[in-house]
Formats: sequence, C-alpha cells, structure tokens
Amino acid sequence: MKTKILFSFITLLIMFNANAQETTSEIKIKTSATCDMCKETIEKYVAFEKGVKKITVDVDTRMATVVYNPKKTSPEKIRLAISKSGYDADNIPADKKAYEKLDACCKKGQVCTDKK
Amino acid sequence: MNRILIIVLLFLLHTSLHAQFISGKVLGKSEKGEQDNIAMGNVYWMGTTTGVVTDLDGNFKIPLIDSLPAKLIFSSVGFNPDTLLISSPPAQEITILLKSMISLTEIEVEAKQSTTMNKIFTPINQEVISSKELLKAACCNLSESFSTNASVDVAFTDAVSGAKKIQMLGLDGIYTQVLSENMPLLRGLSAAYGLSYIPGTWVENILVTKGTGSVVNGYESISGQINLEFLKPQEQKHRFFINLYGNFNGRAEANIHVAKKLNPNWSTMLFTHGSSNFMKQDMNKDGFLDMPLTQQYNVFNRWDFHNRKNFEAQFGVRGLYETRQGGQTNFNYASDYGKTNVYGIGIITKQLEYFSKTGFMFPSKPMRSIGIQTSGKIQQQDMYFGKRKYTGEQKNFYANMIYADVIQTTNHKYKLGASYLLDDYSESFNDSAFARTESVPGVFAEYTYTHPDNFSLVAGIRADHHNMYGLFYTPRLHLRYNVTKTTTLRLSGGRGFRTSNVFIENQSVFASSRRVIVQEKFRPEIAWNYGISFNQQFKLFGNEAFVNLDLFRTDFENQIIVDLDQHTNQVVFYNLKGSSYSHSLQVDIGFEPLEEFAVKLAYKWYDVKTTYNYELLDKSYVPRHRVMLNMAYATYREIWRFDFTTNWFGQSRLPSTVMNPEEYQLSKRSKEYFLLQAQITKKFRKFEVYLGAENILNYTQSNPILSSSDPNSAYFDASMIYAPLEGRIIYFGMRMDIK
Repeated sequence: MKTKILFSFITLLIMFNANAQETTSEIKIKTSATCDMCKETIEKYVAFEKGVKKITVDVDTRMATVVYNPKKTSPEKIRLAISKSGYDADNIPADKKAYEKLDACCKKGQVCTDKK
Repeated sequence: MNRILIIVLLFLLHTSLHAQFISGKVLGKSEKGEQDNIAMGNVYWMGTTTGVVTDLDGNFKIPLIDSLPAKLIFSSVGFNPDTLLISSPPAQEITILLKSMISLTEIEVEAKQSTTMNKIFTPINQEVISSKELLKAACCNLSESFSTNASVDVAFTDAVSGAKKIQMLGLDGIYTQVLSENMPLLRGLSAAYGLSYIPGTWVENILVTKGTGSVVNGYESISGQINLEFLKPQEQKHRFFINLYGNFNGRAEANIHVAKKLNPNWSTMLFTHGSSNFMKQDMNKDGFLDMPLTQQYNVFNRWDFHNRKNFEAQFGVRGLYETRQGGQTNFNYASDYGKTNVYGIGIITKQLEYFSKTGFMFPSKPMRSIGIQTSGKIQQQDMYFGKRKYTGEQKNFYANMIYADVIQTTNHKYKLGASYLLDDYSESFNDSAFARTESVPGVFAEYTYTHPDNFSLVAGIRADHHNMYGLFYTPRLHLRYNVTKTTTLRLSGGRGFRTSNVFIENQSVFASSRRVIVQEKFRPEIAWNYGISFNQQFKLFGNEAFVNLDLFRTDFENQIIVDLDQHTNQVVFYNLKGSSYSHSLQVDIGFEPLEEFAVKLAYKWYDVKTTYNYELLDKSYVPRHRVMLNMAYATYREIWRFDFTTNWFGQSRLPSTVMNPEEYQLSKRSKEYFLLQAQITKKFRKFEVYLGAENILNYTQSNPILSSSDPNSAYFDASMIYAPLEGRIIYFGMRMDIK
C-alpha cells in the first residue's frame, strides 16, 4: 500500500515531466520591459497562458523568449498575452487598461527602482 | 530623503562632454565598509520621467533637464537612496557614495540574517521554514505545519481535546521557546498548546534553532527556539489575502488579511481567522468523538512606523477566543455538565495580548542601535474533564532593552541589555487554589566574533533575579567553523531555566480517572544542553544537495516529573530525583534529482530517559526511531505543485498498565506506523486551489480509550495516545490575493 502510493506519486511526476518533452516551438518577441519588475510582471502573466511552456524576458535587450506548444497556442496569442500584461509585444501595443495598472516606474520612459 | 550621503567626491576633469549631460559614477559602501561600484543602480531626476541605469562599473550619463535647479536621485537595492541638488550644469563628473541600508531587524536579529546566509555562516544551528514550505501542509495552525519538517515533531496528546503538541530533541514543546519576531510569545498558560492558536497563513517564515539559542531572548529555551516572523504590512504587495479551507470531516477555516500603507511612514495590517469543527464523528465506535467540536476566532492588528531616518516602531494587538468540546458523542453541555451520566470535556480559552517594538539608530554610527520591546497578555482558560474543573488566569508583562554596537569593526559585535518579566498566575483545580507571582529583572551581554574567513563565535551570559528562586545565571556559547567552503561544523552549549505550570501543561492527563497527586513544592526546571552538528553541501545531479548531521544532549538538573507509571490510577507530580536526559541524533539529506523536484530524507534517533520513582525509564510516547521523507515537485512557475510526505514512527514505551485487570491493559510498547500526506496545488493567474489528504493510510490507534464504555470506572483513561485518532482526511481549499 505504502509503496503503491509512493510509486503512483513518482509516476505522476514522470508523466508531468514527459508532458514537458513534447514538440515545442520557440519565438522571440520584442517587449517594452525596462526592468526586473517588468520582467516579473510579464513572465508571471504569460506563464499562465495556455500552451506556454516557458518565458524568459531579457531586460537588456527587452526580448521575451517564449517556448510554447504550437498545437495549443500561436505567436499571435502570445503577443496578445504580453500586451494584456501591460507591455508592447512587437507591433502590438500594450493593452491600455493593463498599462494603467502598472506601477508608475514600469511605465514607458520611467526607471524602476527594482524594489521587490 | 535624508542625507546619509557620506562623501561626494568631485573630480576636476575636463571632459569632452557637452554640457547637456551629467555623467559620473555611483559607488556603494557595504556594511563591512568595503567600497564597490554599483551596477544597475538608478539615477533619475525627481518628479520627471528622465532616468538612466548605471553600467557594470557604476558609470552613468544622464541628460540635463531644462528646469534647474532640480534634484537628482540615486538609488539601488540594499542601499539608502540619496539626492543631489543640481543648480547649474556641473563641469565635472560626479562620484556619489551610497551607504548600505540598515534596518532595525538587521541589527536586532542575529537570526534573521541566516534566511539569506543559508546555514553556512551562522554560528547557531538554524533552519528556516519559509512560507512556501508552510504551504506544503495546508492545514491549519502551526502545530500542524511542522509535519513536513524534520527538526520539530508533532505529538498527539489525548483522545478527547484534539490538541497537538510539538517536540524538539525528543523533549516536550514546553522546553522549546517560541518567539514572535524575537520576543517571547507562547509562555505560561500557552506554553504547551499555544501553537494551535497561530494560523499558518499569518506567518511569513519560521526560524528553528536547535539548542539553547541566544541569551538576548531570555533564559527559557532548553531544547530549542522557534522564531515566528509574521507578515509585515510594509512588504505586502496585495491589499487582501483570502484563504479558505474545508475537509470532509467537518472542519472549515477562513483566513483573511488586509494590508494598507497609510503613507510613506505608516502601514498597518489586519489578520483575521475563524475556524470550526462542527461535525460529530466517531469512526471507531467507542462512543467518544474522534475530534472535539471546536470554534476559534482570532484577530491580530499590527502597525508599523518608519521615519526612514533613524527610528522604527511596531506595535500590535491580538485577541483570541476558542472553545473545544469533546467526550462522549451524546454529551450535551446544558443538561450533562457536572453530572456523571455522560462524560464531556470542555476547554475555553480567552486571550488578549499586545506588543510594541521601537528601534533607534545612530546615523553617525551605523552599527549602533537601541531597541526596546514590550509585551503584555491576559489569558484565561477554563476547562472541565467530566467532573474535574480547572480555571487558570495569567497576567504577563515583559520588557527588554537591547543596546547593540561594534568594537571598531563588524568582526566584533556586542549586545548589552536588561529585561523585566512579570507573571501573575491564579489557578484552581477542583477545590484547591494556586496562585503565584513571578517577578524577574535581569541583565545580559552577548559578544559575537566573526572571522571573515571561516570562524565565528557567539558567547552570551545573563543574570536574572527571580523573586521566588533567587539569582541565577544563564551562560550560552555557540561556535561555527567552516572546515572547507562547503563543510560547516558547529558546537553549542548552554543552560536554560523555566518554571512549569503542571496543570495546563499536562491537561490531557485529566481525561482519565487518575488521581492527581502533587507531592511537593515545585522547583524551577533547569537543564544544560550541548550539541554538535556537521553540515556538508555538495552537488548531486547537477543541483545543490546537503547532508546534515547533528547530535544533542540535554541534561536536567531539575525537572517536574509527570509520573504515570507508579500507579495506573494516579498521576504524580514531583521534582526530579535522579537523572533525566535526552540524546538525539538527526541525519538529513536533501537533493534535487530533477529541476524543481526536491527530496528530503531524515532519520531521527531519540534516547530520552527520566527517573520515575527511582527507576530510570524511557520517556513514554517518544519513539526511539523516526524516518521522514518529503518530496516536492513543481512545474514551470509553480503552476502545478505536488507535495508528498511520509513519516514513520517507531515503537515507544507506554505507561505501565500491568496493575489493571487484563481487559484494561495496554501492551508495553506502542505499535510502529506510517503517516502519509499528499497535496496538489494548481495556480491560476489570480488565485490558487489545493486538494490534499492527510493520513492517507487511514491509520488510527485501536482502542485509544481504556474503559470507554464506562468513564466512571477507575480504569478510564483517554490520555494514552501515541497515534492519530482521526482517520484519512481529504481537504481542499483556495488562496487568493487581491490588489
């Protein structure tokens, strides 16, 4: 019984891990992130988007690197998600409502103090 | 913004720059006085959107603005920001030196540092339990939160009140000092069961120290210190937090926090908790409730003030009301209270407490500070166990003043201080009344030496004068030596002193027909504790891994003995005659076979012996061997989290029942058993939900209550508990932050 439960737990883990191994695509999107706080906001929001496996925003280059499952989402949807988090994504401008809600320092032309 | 700016060096450099830019360099001075370039620091014009970030060497170049004079602000994480008034375009480059930020907690709390220092650099053997770790066991209060932690054990007490106690080093939780942000919290009447009055969601992190700890916090810790850091209003990103919990055994719980920053100086936070166990359950059909019916209301309001210069203050008020009702399933308070036909148990706890902390810093002497802590409490506890009645009241006041400074460099730190403790107890048990007032002024000194390379030492001593027991000294020493960069060796030794409250600390014994015999006047409990520990960090599967080994001995000079072995129908309390000690060995291994998959394995060996009636016996209910395995896996960004913990408990000695008729006898030793728990958490953008199970194997102690069919019999005993009484529990809940 004990070992059974242990094994089913491990099996579950392996399944989840195997899940992550399926075919993925990668895309780079230019964002308007200026600091670590912006990076966090974008990553946290987009990570929950269906089909997104991983997202990393590089603050220096402002590039978001997104690993995703092309069967579940598309580059267009990912750009839209970034926009909804309050930032520009390539040619799609930031969603106005989300942008308004950002901390003052994360708005365009501002400098964040990076306080977390 | 104050001018903690130490130097502005102006270099006369003929730059080829055009005047519409200001350029320069930002430096930072660390706590140790070392200067370094600040990379990624911020330089911006106050009240504008013009700003730049410094490069890796700390250099910056910012466009001048038209509206001079204007303020140029320099800031970086961990440093105090500074401002320069620019009235005309400077011809030179600016070099600015920012000073390391000094907060009250940093100065006051040696311990807090280890949250970032990760065990290697603290002289004291400590372990941090983060709020993330606390989420691994969603239910409910702190006494249950430790089920995924190896250093603190959760023990079951009696079959009727449902209370849980903790143990460290094989010793009862009363020998562990519980602190709230470095102030004594659970003392006196709440020493034994107080952790169940603290909702898990209120706590930011927990610092567990094995051994006696620091003298700054008093003399009461013997086996360990548990310091609770509650959520701080300043640090809350969200205004509201809601946690709801329910399980299929009829327990419901809600925690709601509200945080508000009133202005840059003031912030406040309100914590509320309500929980109830409202379903009568008797799975083993012995006529007694498996868990009592409970209700708890708990409110805490704290306020923080920072003037951002040299003064900080915090204060708070907490109120608690809790009722527990257990016993036979058909017990009805209105008709059966005080009668013998139906057995019932009731516990009502009321508590009101406050705390305040103030800290002053000296801008000219950054390492110098004065902290003053005060707290007070009124607690009332009324209990009945069948016909037995207990009422207790504790009034408490505590004040502690700490002066901290360095001798020339931060390699030599010291703290001096004075404290005062006032406790007023009045208790009654059946027809006897007990009252006492304890008044304890004391002074202390603690010196910390840190060799920058590999060694540190904390030596402390305090002298306190107890109005009943006179003057006593509490020396404590902690040493740390880094054999290599990844190998740490620690030694500790010290003395602890406490006075006991036998009735409330052993309330579970009242759930029996045992006659309560207090043989003599109690003396204080005094013990020495020594420990040695070894920590090795290494790489395994490409990730950080550790192995930790520690060995502790606690030696009692005096202890209040709770003797259940002399007679099956008596409980006898007396001062220790002979020896009483605890040896504990713990081996922990932690590693990550995969990214985001962490495994912790711990083995614990306890040898706890006490002299009962001139005979040295194993302490009852303390298993000699225990094993714990904890596995945690999280997917990317913790969208899914899986936690699994299993605990194995070896056999323990049970109090002797040989004098009972055969049908009321227990085996000499308990059975060994496993406890398994698992939890799945799914995060969404705005909230998260969790589903879990405790005691998955549905293991319960068979026949936990002796003579359950007749609570009036001389053999009735509901206190002999070594395993859970409640079977499998399936629970679910959600957590949500609202901006």
